[in-house]
Amino acid sequence: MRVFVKIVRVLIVAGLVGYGVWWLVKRGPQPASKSPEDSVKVTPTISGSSTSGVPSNSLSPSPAPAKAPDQSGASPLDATSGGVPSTPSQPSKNPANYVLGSPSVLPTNMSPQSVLENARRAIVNYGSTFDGNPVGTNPEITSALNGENPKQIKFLNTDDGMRINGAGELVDAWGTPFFFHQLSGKETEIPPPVPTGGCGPAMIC
Amino acid sequence: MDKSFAANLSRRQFIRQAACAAVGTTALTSAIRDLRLMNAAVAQSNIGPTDYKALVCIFLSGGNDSNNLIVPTLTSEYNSYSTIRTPVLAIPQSSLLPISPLNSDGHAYGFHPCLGDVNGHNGLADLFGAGKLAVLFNAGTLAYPLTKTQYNSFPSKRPPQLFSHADQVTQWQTSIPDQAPLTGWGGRSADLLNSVQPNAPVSLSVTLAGANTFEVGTQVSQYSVSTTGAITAQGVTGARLTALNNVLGLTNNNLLAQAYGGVGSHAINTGTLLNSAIDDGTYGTKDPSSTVQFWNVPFPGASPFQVVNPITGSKFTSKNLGPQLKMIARLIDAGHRSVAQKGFGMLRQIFFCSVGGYDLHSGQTDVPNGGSVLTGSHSDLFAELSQCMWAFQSAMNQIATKHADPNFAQRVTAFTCSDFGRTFPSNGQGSDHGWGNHHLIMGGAVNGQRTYGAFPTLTVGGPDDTSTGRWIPTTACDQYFATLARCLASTRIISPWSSRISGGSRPPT
Repeated sequence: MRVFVKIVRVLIVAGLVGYGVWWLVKRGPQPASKSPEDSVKVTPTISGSSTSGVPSNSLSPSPAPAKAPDQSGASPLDATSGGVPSTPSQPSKNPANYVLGSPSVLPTNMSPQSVLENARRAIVNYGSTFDGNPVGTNPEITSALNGENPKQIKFLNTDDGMRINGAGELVDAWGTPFFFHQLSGKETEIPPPVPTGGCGPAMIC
Repeated sequence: MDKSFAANLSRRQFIRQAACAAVGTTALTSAIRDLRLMNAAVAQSNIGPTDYKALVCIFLSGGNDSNNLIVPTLTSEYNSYSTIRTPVLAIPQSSLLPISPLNSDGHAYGFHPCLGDVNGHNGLADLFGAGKLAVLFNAGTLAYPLTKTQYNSFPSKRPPQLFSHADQVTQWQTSIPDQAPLTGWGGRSADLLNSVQPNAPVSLSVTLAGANTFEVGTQVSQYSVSTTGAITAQGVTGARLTALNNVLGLTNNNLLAQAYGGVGSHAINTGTLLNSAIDDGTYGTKDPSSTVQFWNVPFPGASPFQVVNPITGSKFTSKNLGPQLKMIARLIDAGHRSVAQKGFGMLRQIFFCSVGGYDLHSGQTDVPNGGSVLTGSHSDLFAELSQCMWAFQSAMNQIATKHADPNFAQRVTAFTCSDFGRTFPSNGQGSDHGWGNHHLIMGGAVNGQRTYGAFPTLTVGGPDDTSTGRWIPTTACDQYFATLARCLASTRIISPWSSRISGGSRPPT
């Protein structure tokens, strides 16, 4: 009787283990986290920066190169004191496929001026963290603000009206990509978004 | 030192041949940081009482789009250019001014049409053909030589705050891309050269564009002059001026007041000396009336000597560059003259001038407004740059005649700098901040009618592009300025520009 019980126990354990293995194999690899923001992958374009209200010049650039592996042992956490982030990953070509937020929905009672102010604040926060504002094109700045920085901090939040289109560009309340004009490492000018004058003079952050 | 960088360093022949062993042992990031090269040249030379030289920095503020300054004209290369820059920025091939460099790099080029002559106003294209102008391709701030792969893989090796106006201006003017700026390379040059003229009545560093980082030194202070002369105390003349000088010269127990008095006296005396030198009735370049120029080739400025756009024929006033270069020419004349001839009797001078308006995110051409790609803000800027530089070089030739110095034209070298280049594709209205940029070097000492450095591959996403058409420089500012500084330090009337300038090829990946 005792032997029988032992055999049954072994079989039960083996069965559970086997089921677990089977379940894992069938399920396949899954992302580490399922939070909405972590599912966002900034996919900036390389088709050129855009000014507010002006479509990007259409061209057929070469595909963006894959991010080269770190060869020297340099840590991905090497501080860059702000500046251009690492090469963004392969872009989605359709700006309508927003990677953060929705093309048509802003948070309730979120005015265009608030969106602009929140964009400014994100840049200020980045600048305070890394002793220098992000520089480069809109997609490069956006990717830096959205986690592609030495500390992988995300400064953009949909609750603040922050939206990233499928081209990896941070857009204003009307869906037009912001134009970031880098005056210095600590001063970035954001000209008023369309419609013209809707939010007053250019913001400096 | 990794192998690839060692290979690249070996290509910097011009620095090694300049006997700058220090370059190989100093920080690899900045050859001009401590200017040991210059110091060695100064120590080895015997700068005599008649060996005058001057450098003139022309800073194009905002970031010049040199992709339209010089354009490739071979069919396949022009097509690459045109495909990407059309319709907002692409200059028609038929409008380009072909140039004939004496050296061949396998390419053919043409200048922007506004660099040519119009109605007797000659321009940079003429200077190039006369051997007085050279073009340096794709120069920019670099902390390390970078390939595209290295640019993407090692962000920490990029110059900090690329594409940012103020930071890139600072890095261009200090030639130190990886440390906090303390001095400009012009200022450091002045500090080294000041010993050859210890009794100079006027500062070796003179600025026509206000305070700048380029001329910040630890010993020599830059001296600011306006386009009409030294700034003096307004309305203080005669007995009042004498009284003021007496007050400033009083001994004061308060150290601050004492120092203020000394600075004030010095400023008044220097201003008086400078204005009397340039306005001297016998030896100076006094302008008896507003319609008379100092030289028979008028400097573009106000009516009737305005800039003429070669495309439209329209005229406009050169408010900054023309008057600045004109005053620099007058100060060079005064600086080169002996004290007996009411001059400064100087041996070395460094000048800084600046013209803005190049940050053309919009309005670069008139195409967005339904106009022509050949007109717009950028064409006017090029016309101004071309005609003002040509007038300046002509003035140097005439000073040579005036001073009976056949070598004078080789004593003055002018060169351009800018924040950065601009993106190759348009943003729909103009162009945005880039990186590598083409520059001009002008003067009798220049080994002209040549191009130097490596012309970038005009492909967005190509081997020379960070992305969006921003060229990774193949020549560092360091290399550019080291050659100029060496020329300034040397006693020989040398041709500093030679095929030894490398930086035209990237290190192996």
